[in-house]
Amino acid sequence: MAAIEKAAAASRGAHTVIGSSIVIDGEISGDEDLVIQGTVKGKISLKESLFVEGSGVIEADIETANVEVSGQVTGNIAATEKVELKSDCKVVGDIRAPRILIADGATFKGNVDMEVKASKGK
Amino acid sequence: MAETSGVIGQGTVVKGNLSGSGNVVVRGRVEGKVALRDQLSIEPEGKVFADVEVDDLLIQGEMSGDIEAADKVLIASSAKVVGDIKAPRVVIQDGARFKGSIEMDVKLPEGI
Repeated sequence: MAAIEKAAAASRGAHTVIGSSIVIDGEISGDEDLVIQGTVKGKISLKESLFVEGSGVIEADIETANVEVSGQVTGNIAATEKVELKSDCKVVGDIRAPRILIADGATFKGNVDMEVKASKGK
Repeated sequence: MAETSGVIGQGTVVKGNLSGSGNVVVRGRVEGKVALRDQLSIEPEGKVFADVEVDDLLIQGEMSGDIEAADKVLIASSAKVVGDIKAPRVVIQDGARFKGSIEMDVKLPEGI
């Protein structure tokens, strides 16, 4: 499983990997892809994609372009492009993004805002 | 040798506490505090502005902060380091720039 995750991470061209034995308490920012297999508490702001792998645990507000969650996220997510909640993920918090996908089996609690303008009239 | 458990890429900044086990490679920027079992490796493009507690530290980039290593600190020729070092083994290669104190926990011979 770990090997598959690593291969997957490599194929995505990820430059930053927080492994499963690593804990970060604070802030991560950057302009490249970030793969999280460990624990991050605080805040994440990226200009690229965030991948929260199955072993990943995040207690943080997230601002990024794309997010793919297979692990656990507690916090609000704001993405400029897409948020994808994979099956087996656990997410608690509000999500704001133009495109949001929730797979069958995903656990989610919170508000979803796709920035849809309410159509007037009938 | 433990596996690489984390990479901080060139475009990434981590502010705060970084802790855990396994080898961590820094090509980006880390500010705050690092407490790690196993090895921290600061690549030539990496910058660490943090107090570091680790078994084994390899510095090829820039680092500012106090270092406490259980095993060894190696300051490579491309490195620039400011801070105090406490470790049983400290290596400074030719070309490296360092400012600070070094304590190797030496037992002085009897009779001094």
